[in-house]
Amino acid sequence: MRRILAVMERDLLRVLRNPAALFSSVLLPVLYLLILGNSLNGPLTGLRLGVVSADQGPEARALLGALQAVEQGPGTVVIVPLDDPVRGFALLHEGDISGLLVVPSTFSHDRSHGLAASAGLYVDNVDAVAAGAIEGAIEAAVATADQPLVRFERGLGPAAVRPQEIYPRVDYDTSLIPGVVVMSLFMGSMLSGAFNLIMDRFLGVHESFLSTPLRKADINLGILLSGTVVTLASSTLVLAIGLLMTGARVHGGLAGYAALLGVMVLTGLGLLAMTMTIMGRAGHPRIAGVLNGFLSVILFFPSGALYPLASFPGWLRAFARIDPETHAVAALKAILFRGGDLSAAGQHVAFLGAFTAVMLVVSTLAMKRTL
Amino acid sequence: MNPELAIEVRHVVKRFGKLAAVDDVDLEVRHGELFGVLGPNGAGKTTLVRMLTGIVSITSGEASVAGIDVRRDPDGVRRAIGVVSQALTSDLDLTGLENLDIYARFFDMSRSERGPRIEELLRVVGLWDRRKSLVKTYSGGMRRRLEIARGLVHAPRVLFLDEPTIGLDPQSRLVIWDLLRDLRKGSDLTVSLTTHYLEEAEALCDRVAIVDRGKIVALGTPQELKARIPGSDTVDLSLGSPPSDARLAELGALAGVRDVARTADGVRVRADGGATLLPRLIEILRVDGLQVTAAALQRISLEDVFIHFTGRTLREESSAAGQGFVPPRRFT
Ligand SMILES: Nc1ncnc2c1ncn2[C@@H]1O[C@H](COP(=O)(O)OP(=O)(O)O)[C@@H](O)[C@H]1O
Ligand SMILES: [Mg+2]
Repeated sequence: MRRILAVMERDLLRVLRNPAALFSSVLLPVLYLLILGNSLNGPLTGLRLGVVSADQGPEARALLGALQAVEQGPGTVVIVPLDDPVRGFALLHEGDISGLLVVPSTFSHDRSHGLAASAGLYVDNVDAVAAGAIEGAIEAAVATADQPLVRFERGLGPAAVRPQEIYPRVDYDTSLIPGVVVMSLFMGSMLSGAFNLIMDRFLGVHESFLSTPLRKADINLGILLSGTVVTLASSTLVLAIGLLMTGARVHGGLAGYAALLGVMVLTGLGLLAMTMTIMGRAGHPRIAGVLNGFLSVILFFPSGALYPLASFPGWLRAFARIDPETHAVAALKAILFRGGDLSAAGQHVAFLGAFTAVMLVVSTLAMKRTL
Repeated sequence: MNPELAIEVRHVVKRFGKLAAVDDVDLEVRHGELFGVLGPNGAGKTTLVRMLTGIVSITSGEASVAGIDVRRDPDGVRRAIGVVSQALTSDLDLTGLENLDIYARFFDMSRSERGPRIEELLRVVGLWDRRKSLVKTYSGGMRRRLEIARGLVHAPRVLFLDEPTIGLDPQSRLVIWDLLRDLRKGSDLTVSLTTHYLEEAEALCDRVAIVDRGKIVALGTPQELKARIPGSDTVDLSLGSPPSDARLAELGALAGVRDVARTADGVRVRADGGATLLPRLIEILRVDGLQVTAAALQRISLEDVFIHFTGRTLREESSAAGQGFVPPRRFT
């Protein structure tokens, strides 16, 4: 035990005396939270929509009125009135407007006669997200325009309606917290643990370890424990900043906090041991850099931290199920958002526990005790 | 194996692929001896030390250190030895004291054992006053002294020093030499020192093994090694005019003279006991009325021994090979 603690203390002291790297494992996830929270899923606004209306009838005016309501309200679109569809297509092509709505002269007539009336919507699908938002806004407008009519006129032609679901911004931010906490755990494990060992080896400092009675397990556990302290410190900071930024609360009182910390320790240790298993024998820090970049992508994006798992294709969902970050995100979400019912995290914690235990054993066995 | 020996090496080989870095080496080092392994860069010195200290595996052969079989009980060996490796391996971000304290804990030393031992060693190596400074503020010589102290912290029976003065300025080198002499006073510490500096081997070592290309080419005390070379002294005489063949033949016939040769401005005589021969040499040359304008007597060095056994000079070899592996400096 004395030897493990000595290895751990040595590692920790060196990390503490070079704190710059630590800051980045806090700063980056917090920046992520700020940028993603405000850009990705906050409602889009200010998209320019060209409107060419050849119809002065009541249905067309109702539709335009509903669009103006969207312009005034959520502000998803800014209406650019145009006379000439050809000019409209040119603007669309140049990217000056993101969508073009062409209402034909027969629109009101067809609708009031119970025929399927269609207005042409052309969207710049180079930007799929903006295109989706415009489509959503217009469908909402069509639905609104319909409503008084639905009640009074049975013979009305069908107009497609799609429910537009926009999270309140704060909630999306909040739902990102588990993801950024896991991200900071990963970054912390990247900057400590195996990386320190590889750096020692690269610098030749490692040789001084090898001529001592330190066993594989002493070296491995010492390094992993110091890495755990480092990752726990930075991820706790990220969690605290995230909670403050979004105003979210941790349910379940002390037990809730303890559960969060427990999941973070387990995840940090598991990721550290996994990294040690994969790159513990590398001789050059560049190898660690490349592998870390790769791991960070394949572990983080499928983890459900940003997008719900259900929307993934089957093969990706299968991978996500064995991705430790998936279970870490799910466990943290369960603890944070399910009103303090900690048992909801149970199966994920069990997975993390098993994963970490296996990685600890494998990384110790795979440790290189000679030069 | 023989318990009388501090280090025993039998037919030890280390291969890296096709290269035999250490090629069938036999060695015996007695307790308390300061044993030198002298050879140019790439001779296999570091590889030999690494095998004996359990850092790389032994391809074949047997070795024991402090009476413990290196292959059978590497942990036992590691407890019995101290190692100061060729590369500087102390932690730059730790203080001198922290470096020693943590290292001592690797050997399971308790706090009460560590405290006095570390203080004693830091005082011996002259770093007690700087113990709380980060090692990155140390000079190369200070760092090396710290690492020697670190190698001794658990009171090993055998200390391995791999090129302890490589890269140091002459002054720091002398400090390390004095330190090593002091450390041995009144102790039965066995020291195995590798070096490619002849002066170092001559100044410090009780016995020296000369290695070249993985093999031991000569072994003995520095005096023995020198004595093994015929014509161990060189006398250079500068003359006013060239000597006659008859006089050269007369010089060559003197007892103890091994070889006589013309040089650009005179004659070179290689002989045993050059100092006592010198007056006689001058006397003979004077017979022809030759002016001896300068006389230089060069006693043989290990350099000549090295050339004798390998046909190459140590210096050319080491400058051509540069410094060997130098770990990159870390950015601080
Ligand atoms: N890990 C290694 N892999 C391959 N070759 C090596 C390795 N270590 C040393 N060598 C080679 O073995 C030879 C002896 O090297 P070394 O023991 O470092 O010599 P020295 O310490 O005498 O300068 C050299 O030719 C060197 O290139
Ligand atoms: Mg060497």
